[in-house]
Amino acid sequence: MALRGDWMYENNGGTCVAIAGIDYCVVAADTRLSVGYNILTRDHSKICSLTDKCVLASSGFQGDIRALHKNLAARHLLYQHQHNKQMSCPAMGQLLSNTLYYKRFFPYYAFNVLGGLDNEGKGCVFTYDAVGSYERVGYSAQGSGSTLIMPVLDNQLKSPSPLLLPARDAVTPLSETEAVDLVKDVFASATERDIYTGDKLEIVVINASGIKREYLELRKD
Amino acid sequence: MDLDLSAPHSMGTTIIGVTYNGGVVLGADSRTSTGMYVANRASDKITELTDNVYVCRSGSAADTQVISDYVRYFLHQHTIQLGQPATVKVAANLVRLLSYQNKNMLQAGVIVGGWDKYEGGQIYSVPLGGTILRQPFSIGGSGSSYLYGFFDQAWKEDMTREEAEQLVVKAASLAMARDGASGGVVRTVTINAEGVTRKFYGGDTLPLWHDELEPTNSLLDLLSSSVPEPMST
Repeated sequence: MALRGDWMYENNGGTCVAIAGIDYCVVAADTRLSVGYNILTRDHSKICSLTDKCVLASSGFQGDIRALHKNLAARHLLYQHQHNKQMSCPAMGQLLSNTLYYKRFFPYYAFNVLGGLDNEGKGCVFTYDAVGSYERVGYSAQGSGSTLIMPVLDNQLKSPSPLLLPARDAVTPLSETEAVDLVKDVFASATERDIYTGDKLEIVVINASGIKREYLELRKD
Repeated sequence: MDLDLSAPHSMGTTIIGVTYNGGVVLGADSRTSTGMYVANRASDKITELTDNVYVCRSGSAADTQVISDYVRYFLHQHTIQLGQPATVKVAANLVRLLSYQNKNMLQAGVIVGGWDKYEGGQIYSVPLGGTILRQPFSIGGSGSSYLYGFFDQAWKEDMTREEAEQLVVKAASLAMARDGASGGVVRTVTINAEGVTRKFYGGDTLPLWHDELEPTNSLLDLLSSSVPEPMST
């Protein structure tokens, strides 16, 4: 379904969500890979663990996403060699922005949500556009189902209103299990209404004890 | 659903900068859109460059963030080398240089405002293309189209701080009422010799204009309490 002879991108669909809590962060993405009306696989992870405290979920063109994740993982390895420690989540947030803006005139077709714990152990989420503009927020959704999910999160997260300043400090007071349940609910709903979202949900929870992974079956139609 | 989610975030926007007797007031709406979708309804478009200079950003979110980051970095070095706070003129010119020299590639329309001990409160406009123009007040962004006539009538020299803030809030809310790409809340930053004050005006603190409805929880509350018609296939 290329739009013109020189169109180099394609959209493989899918949705990513991240929610920051007081001392945890939930990052989730579905595992469906599509091209047009076809499903290429039901079992493709969009999530990349960059550090012990930082996880990136991206939807969009998987070719660019693979390259981007590989790029960041390599940069992180270099950082570890040079600094003898892992990158913090805010540092990775800036690195991702710079990496995206580097290709400002031939962008990574990737819609990213970065989630993890900041230097104080508090949940942090960064949300991006394709060319690197970013902001720290309390929660975000990106990808084909994002417009379905964001209004629900706006309504349900009981975060201090993002209309008050600053939005960056708006971590939800919900507990970890409540946040995970909310994520499962929004994905179940998004799956009903978005053809590109479904099959399986991968949920990653980052907290002081480390990174935990969980899966949930979604509708396959 | 013809949303173009792959469109880079652009700040449709209304931005305003106004001088008063003692400093400047910068104001902006809070809507960031990607195509028809509101990517961020509570953005902060007024960004710090130094303690005494702030910038209102419109155009591409990524371009203006990167320009701000570079200028903040240059100003930091400049302050160390100079031994005293940078002037507003220098800050504005650094923005202008980046904008002008990369004019073919960037989409950034900004208003730089601040206070320094030499010239007091100043507003510099740096629109698309990289022109720099010092003005007693400046407006920018897609919503500014609706404000030219308003400012011609409402602007006056030597306002007090309160008058200037009220003018900015009134203007921003007028533009937000008419421009689809502007909305959310109004954020203001006031800079003078004493320092910087951030304010926020949202929901029912903003005036309503012709045909605007009161903010409510749900428009369904306005309907009569009769049972809605069942949907038919």
